Amino acid sequence: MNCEDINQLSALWHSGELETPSQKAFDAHLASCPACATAIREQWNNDARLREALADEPADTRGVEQRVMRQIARERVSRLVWRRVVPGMAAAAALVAAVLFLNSQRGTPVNPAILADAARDHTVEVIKQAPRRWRTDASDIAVIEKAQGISDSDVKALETTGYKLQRAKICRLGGTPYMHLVYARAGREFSVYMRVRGDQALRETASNSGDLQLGAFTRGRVQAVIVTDAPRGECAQFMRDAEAAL
Amino acid sequence: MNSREQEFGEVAMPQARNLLRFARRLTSDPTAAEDLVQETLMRAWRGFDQFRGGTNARAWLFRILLNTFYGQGRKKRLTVVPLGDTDRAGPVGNHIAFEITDALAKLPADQRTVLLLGSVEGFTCREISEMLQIPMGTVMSRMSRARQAMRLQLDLASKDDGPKVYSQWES
Repeated sequence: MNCEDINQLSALWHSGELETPSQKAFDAHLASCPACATAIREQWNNDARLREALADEPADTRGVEQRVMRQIARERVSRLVWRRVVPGMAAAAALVAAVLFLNSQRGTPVNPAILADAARDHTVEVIKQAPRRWRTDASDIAVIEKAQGISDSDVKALETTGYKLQRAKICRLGGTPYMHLVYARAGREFSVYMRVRGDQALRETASNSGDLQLGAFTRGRVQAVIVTDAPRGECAQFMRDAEAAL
Repeated sequence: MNSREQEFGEVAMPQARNLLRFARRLTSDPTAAEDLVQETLMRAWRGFDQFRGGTNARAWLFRILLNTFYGQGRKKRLTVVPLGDTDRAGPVGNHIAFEITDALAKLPADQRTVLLLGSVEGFTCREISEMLQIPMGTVMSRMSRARQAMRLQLDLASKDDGPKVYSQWES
């Protein structure tokens, strides 16, 4: 073993990782080489001085330890929430969503012919104002209500939407007679086609055809189809208010 | 505190002082060192399920600390940074401690790291090689250069004491 070997292997000698034969050869070289012996001895001494110097260095870890244990405790609580509370909340939310979805899917689909007739009727009779025998007098409207079996309170209830009843008449949608009511506010008109529901409730529907917004729903004993050329948002609001009123 | 937290406290917390001391030398910043140790312990806690009882907890924690340090893009900061007064070891007036820590601070960061791990923390070259994920030969050469540089620095600091005899591999 020569001086270069000592240089290369010194790290293993210091850490005690040299195999026995290498250890013996290393020690033998040091015994015969004063320069290497001095170098290794000084390295050994410097290591010891370094350990001693750093051992004296103050290192207060109480703050770190407290912060770590606090964070661990917080994570434990957080983990409990995620494992126990959140899954329960998620399940509840999923159940609510499922119920809402199923509710929205309940009832029979609206016959497209009814919506098409309603759109055409509103366009001709309300937008284009084709001459028709509208009833505007309350007593005349009451006669139509009675003939259709519709409650006057239902008709008046729709005025709580903020739109006032303007006129009414009978028309046919998909071959079935409906009471056609026109409610208006600030020049904006909504056609509400109303009839007493049959055995099946109408599935809640919202769609559009060109510039027209269409909706249908069943509430209580009343089935309603709504058409307007008002913007979608206003129509949606009217639908919600009308459903709530009925 | 549950039993698992208690077990972690018994395994990891006794190493906090060594970790902090090492982190201070690694970061040259006492505040950053505390943050590094805190993060190391939290990572250790999150990975405590993977820790097998009976294995070397010290090596495991130091490995996490080094991974955390290098993983945070701090490698660029590993330059020879003169340490401030608060980073120097020993009580005021301890000239030997001042000299030795000053010499340590002047080492290149890669040499300082292996020297601290080997000489101060007592890890073997094989353990250091695994911690730093570098070949064992690289650890040995860095360690050797670090010790030589320390010797030179300390000799310069005490040159009034007289000439030293160096071997040819220290020139």
